[in-house]
Amino acid sequence: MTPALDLRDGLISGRLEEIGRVLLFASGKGGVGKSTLSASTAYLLSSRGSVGVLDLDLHGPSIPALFGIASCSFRESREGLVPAKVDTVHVMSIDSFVRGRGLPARGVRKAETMKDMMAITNFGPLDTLVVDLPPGTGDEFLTALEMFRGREGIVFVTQPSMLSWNVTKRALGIAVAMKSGIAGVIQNMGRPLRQIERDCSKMGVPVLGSIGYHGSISDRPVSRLRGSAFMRELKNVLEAASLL
Amino acid sequence: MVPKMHEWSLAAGIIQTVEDECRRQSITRVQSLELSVGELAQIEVDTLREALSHLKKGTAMSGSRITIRKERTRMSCRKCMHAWSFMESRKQLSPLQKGGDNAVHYLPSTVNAFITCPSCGSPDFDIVSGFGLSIMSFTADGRKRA
Repeated sequence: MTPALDLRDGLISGRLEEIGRVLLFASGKGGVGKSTLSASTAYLLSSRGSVGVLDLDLHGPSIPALFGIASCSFRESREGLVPAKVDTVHVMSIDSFVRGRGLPARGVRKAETMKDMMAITNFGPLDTLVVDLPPGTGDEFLTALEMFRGREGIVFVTQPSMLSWNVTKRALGIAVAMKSGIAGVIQNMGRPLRQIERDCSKMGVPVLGSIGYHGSISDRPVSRLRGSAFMRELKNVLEAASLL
Repeated sequence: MVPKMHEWSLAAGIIQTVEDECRRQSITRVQSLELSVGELAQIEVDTLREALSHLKKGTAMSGSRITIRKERTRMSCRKCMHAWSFMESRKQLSPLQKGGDNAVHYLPSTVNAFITCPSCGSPDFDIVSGFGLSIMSFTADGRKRA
């Protein structure tokens, strides 16, 4: 028998009412620096307001590592699970639950997990919720578009290569077709590619800027990137796009 | 005794969701509500009932009768097709990880990270029944709404 109503709907709408905006970091391809950019953006934003990060990369969560912790914790309250504050950011990850284990999850179960996480996490009032999505255009991407509809600004991250862009462009095309809120595209880890700017222009999507390759930031938590060239470049991009 | 606060949060979700639906359908009074509690979520039904009874005051559900049905959790292996019950596997949870029970309590869909098929050892299995907490139906203003 199919449930009549989904009790998570009431919880999620209540949570979102307390959140000013939701920045979703998405990409077509993996390995383009999406999680690093989302964690770093959250870190930068937290100097100007209250920020939470929701790590929805169910199969490859890396947000805890980017905040320099083995795994995130939370405490239980009658209003939901309150995520621990790491540095200046409230962090909730799928890894808070599976703690280093792989999560074998198919289709509809992935959507269930994402909705459950958003429903049971009590971030409280936030200026910005940063959501780290897995790469691709499958269940997680589509569920996120639906779950955050009306609140979302999607930041698409691509490497400045046609290999990466040709895949990211597909995800972007889906978001455009679904009339989702798109913040724009960041070219990461190299010199900007003109073709990406041309394609974005045709699609009516802004290119937010580009960030060079910074090999030295690998494996360093975001709190230790303060003052680095990478953080300065990201800050410039976010400020120019009025996201910071 | 560990306080069961997750049930309060879920109860708040039920009240909010039904209230939203009442607003959508211009319903003023809910007469009855039927919930299904899957064994997998390990929800303490008495705490859930207590939370609902407290939180429904002053809402369209205030005079409603709430029925909570427990549903056994059954699993089916995608590799060897073996079918089994959650109770058979529950012993796998505790030794694996401190708090393992809690992870499944909060996020039932993480169960595949903690238990495996008792026949072939595969973690790739389906939950056939008894998944989590669901609002199955409710009656309002004299008729069944869902």
